[in-house]
Amino acid sequence: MKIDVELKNVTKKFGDVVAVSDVSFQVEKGQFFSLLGPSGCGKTTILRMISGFEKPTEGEILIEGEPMADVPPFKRPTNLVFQSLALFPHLNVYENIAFGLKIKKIPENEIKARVKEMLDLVRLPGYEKRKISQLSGGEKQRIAIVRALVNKPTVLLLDEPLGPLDLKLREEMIVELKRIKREVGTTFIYVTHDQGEALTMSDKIAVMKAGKIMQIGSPIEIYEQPNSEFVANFIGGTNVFKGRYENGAVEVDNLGKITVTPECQLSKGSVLVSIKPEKIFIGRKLNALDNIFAGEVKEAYYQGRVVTYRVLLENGSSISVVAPSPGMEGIFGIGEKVKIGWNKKDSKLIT
Amino acid sequence: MTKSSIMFIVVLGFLLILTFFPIAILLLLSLNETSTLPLRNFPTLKWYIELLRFPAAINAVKYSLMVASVTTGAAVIFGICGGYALARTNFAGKKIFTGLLLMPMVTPYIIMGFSLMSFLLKMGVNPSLIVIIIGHILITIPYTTLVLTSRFIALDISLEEAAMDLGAGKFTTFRKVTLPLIMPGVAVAAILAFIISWEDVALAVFLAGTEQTAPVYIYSLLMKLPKFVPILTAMSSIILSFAIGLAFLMRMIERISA
Amino acid sequence: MSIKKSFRNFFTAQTNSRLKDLLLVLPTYLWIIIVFFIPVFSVLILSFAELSPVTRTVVNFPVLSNYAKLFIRTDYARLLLRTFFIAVTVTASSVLFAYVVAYFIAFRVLKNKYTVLFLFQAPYFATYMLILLAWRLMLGSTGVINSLLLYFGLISEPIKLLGYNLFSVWLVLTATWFPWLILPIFVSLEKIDRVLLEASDDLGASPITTFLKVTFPLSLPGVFVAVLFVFIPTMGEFIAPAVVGGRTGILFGNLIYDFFLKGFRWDVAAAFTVYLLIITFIAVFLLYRRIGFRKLMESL
Repeated sequence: MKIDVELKNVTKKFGDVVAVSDVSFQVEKGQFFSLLGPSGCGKTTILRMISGFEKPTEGEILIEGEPMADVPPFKRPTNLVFQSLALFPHLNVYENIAFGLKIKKIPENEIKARVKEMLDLVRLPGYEKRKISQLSGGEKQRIAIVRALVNKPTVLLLDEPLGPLDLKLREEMIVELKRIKREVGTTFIYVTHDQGEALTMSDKIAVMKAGKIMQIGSPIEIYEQPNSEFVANFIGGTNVFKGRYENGAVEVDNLGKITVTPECQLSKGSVLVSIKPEKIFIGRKLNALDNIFAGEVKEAYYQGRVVTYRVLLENGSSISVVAPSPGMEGIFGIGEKVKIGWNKKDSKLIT
Repeated sequence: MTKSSIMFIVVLGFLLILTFFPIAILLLLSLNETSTLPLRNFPTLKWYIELLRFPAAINAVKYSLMVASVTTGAAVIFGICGGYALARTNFAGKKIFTGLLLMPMVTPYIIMGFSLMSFLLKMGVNPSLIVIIIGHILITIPYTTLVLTSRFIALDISLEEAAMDLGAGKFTTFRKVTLPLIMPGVAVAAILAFIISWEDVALAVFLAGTEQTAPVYIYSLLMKLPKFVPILTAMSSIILSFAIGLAFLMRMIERISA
Repeated sequence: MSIKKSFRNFFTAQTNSRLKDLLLVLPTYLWIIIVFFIPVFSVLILSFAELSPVTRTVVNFPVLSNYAKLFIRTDYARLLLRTFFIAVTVTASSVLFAYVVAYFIAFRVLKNKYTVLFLFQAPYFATYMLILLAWRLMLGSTGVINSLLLYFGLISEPIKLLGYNLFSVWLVLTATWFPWLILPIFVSLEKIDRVLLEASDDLGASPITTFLKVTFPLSLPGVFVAVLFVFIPTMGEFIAPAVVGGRTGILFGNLIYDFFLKGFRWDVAAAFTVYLLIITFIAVFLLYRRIGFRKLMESL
C-alpha cells in the first residue's frame, strides 16, 4: 500500500511547552485518517505541521516520500479546510473556489469547468455568483471543502470543520463528507474532538492525549479494545474498574470477582477492566450470564431509543447501563431493586 | 422626561452651541461689510471678490491640499508596513519600536517644531513645503500605524493562511487577500492623517518658508495685518467646504467598514 | 538554481525572518530617529551652549546660564506657572465636558449613537486655525458676543472678561479641546458591561452611588487617555494665546516661539524647550504608570 503522509518522531515545542511529543504514524493513500483528542492535545498542531504553517522542532514529515522540511505551505501538495473555514469575504463563491487555480495560472475555461464540477459534487450548482455572507452555515462548509479539493491535493486536511454547526446539520455534513470522500478518493486527515464523528467516518483513528498518541487503530479496534483508561473513557462513557487479575478472573474492590475472557495471558497483577454500558443487561431476574450483581437504580435518563441507568451495586460500586427503551420489563424507576449482568467476553482488560 | 434628562439636554445644547456657533458666525460675517456686528450691507460678496486679489490665500489652500495629500500617502504606506509588522511578525526589538512610535504622539508640537527647524537650519536646510511634509509625516505615522495595527490584528489570520495553503506566496497573499480586506482601515488611517496634516498650525509655523499652508497663512496674516480679517473670513468658507466634503467621506467610510 | 535555493533558505530561517521583518519598520525607525530624536538631542546640547546673539556661534560650552534664566527673570517663572495652571484648568474643564457628552451618548442615546458622536467630532474637519479665527470674532470688546448682549440690552457696557485675555484663552482651549476627548471616554464607557450597573442598582445603590462606585472607576482608562491628550498640547500651546490672549493671555510656548523667531536666542529657547520636555515626560510617566501601554493603545 502506498503511503501518502508519514510522520517520523515529530516533536513540536512552543518555547518550553511541548505541544507534540515524539509522534509517528503513517497514512495510506485514500485513507480517512482521524486525529482524535480533547482540545489542547496537539492534534491541530500536527495538522498545521503537515500543511507547513508550523515547523517540527524535531523529527521529519514526509508527503509521498518527499521530506517537507524546506517546503513552504504554498508549495505543498496539501490543502487545509480551516476550523473557521476562512472563506474570503471579499470574493464570491466562484472566486473563492478558483483562487488556487488562478494562482497556478490554469486557463480560465478549465477553471470554470472545474469549479462547476466541484459545485455539482457538493450539490450547490449555480452558486457561482453568490456572496459568502449570503450562504448558510452548511453551505459555507461545503464551499470551504471544495475550495481545497479543487486543487486536487494529495492530502486534504480538515481542522474540526464541523465544530460550529448545530447537531442536526452536523449529522447531515457527516453523511455528506463520507459521500464526497467516496467520490473523490483523496486521502483525508481529519482533526476532531468528537468521538462520534471520528468513529463514523474514519478508516483509522489516532487517539491523542497531551501531545502523545495513545492508540492507533480502526474504529472497531479503538472502541472494542481500548488500550488505556484514557482511550476507554474518551471514546465512550464506559465502566472502568481497577482490580487484580488471577486465573481468568479479576478481583475488584467493592464489587467482587469478575470473570474475563482468558485470551489475554496476563501474569498476576493489577489491571483495569472496561465494560461498555450497552453490553450490560438489566432486569428483575437475570440468568445465564457470566457476571451477575444485584443493586438499586439511582438515576434513570430516558433518551428516546435507549435509557441510561446508574445502578448502585450491593457491594458499593456504581455502574452505568444502557438498555433499550422500553425493555421487555419496561422502564425501571429510581429506587427499584434490579439485577445487572454481562458476559465474560465483554469484560475487556486494559493493560 | 426625567429631571436629569432635561439637565443633560440643556448642557448638551450649550456645548453644541459652543462648538458650532462660532463657525456659523464666521460664515455669516464673511458676507458682511465688516467682520463685526451689526450687519452692514448684508449679504455682500465683496470679500469673496476681494479674495481673488489675494493669490497667496488661494495658493495657501492649494499648498495645504498638496502637503496633506503627500503626507497622507507616505504615512499610510509607513503605517501599512509598520502595522503589518506589529500585528503579524515578531521582529527584533518590537517593544522598543512601539515605545519609540508613541513619542511623537505625546510630545507638544512646539518641541518638535523648534527642534526640527533649528536642527535643519544648522544643517543648512531652509524652511519649505517639503520640510512641512517631513514634519507632518512624523506626527501622522504613529496614528496610521496604530490604526492599521488594530485592523491587522482584527483580521482573521487563517484567511491569510488559507491563501498560502491554496498556493499563494507571501506577496500574492498580501495583495489578493490582506490588502483588500483592510482597505476600510486604510481609508480611516488616510483620512486621519489628512486631517492631522490639514489641521496643523503649531508645527507648520516653525517649518513653513515663503510658501505657507492655509492655517499658517491665516495665522501670520492675523498676527501681522489684522485689518485683512474679512479676507480671511471669505477664505474660511473655502476651507469649510473642503472640510464638509471630507467629513461626509469619513462618515461614509465608517458606515461601510462598520 | 542555487540563488533560488539560497533565497528559500533565507525565507525559511527563523532567525533571519526576525531581521527580515525588521525591514518593514526600518523606514519608520529611521524617520523617527532622524526627524525626531536627533533634532531633540541637538536641542538638548544646544541648551547647554551660550550663543553669540549676533553671529549665533557657540561662545561658551557647557553652561547652565540658559536654564538659570527661568529663575533670574521672575516673569518667565511666573509664565511657566501660569501655563501649568491653564493646562490643569483646561484639562479639568474639557475632560468634564467631554465626559458629560460621552456619558449622555453612551447611556441616554438609544438610536444613532454614532451619528450623535460624529456631530460633536465634525468641527475637527474645520481646522483648528479656522475655529480660532471664529473665536477671535466672537470675543473682544467689539466682538460678536458683546455686541449681541449690548444689542439686546442685557448689558450696558462690554464685558471685560470676554475681551482678549487669559480667561478667553481658557474658554477657547476648552471649547476646541473637549470634542477631541469624547471618543476615548465614550469607548471606555461603552465597554462597561451593562449588567454590572443593573447589579449595582439591584444591590440597592442609588444612581449617584452606582456612578461613583462602578461607572466612573471603570471609565478611568479613557479619562486618563483624555487627560494625556489635552494636557500635553496645552502645556506647549502658543497659537491660541497669540490669537485670543491679548497682552495678558500669553503662555510659556509664546516665549519659546519668540526666542526662536524674533530674539534669535536659540540657546535660551532650547533650555526652555527642555523644561517643557521634562514636564511632558513626567506627565506621560505618571499616566503611563496608571494605565499602561495596552490600555492607551486600546483607547485610540
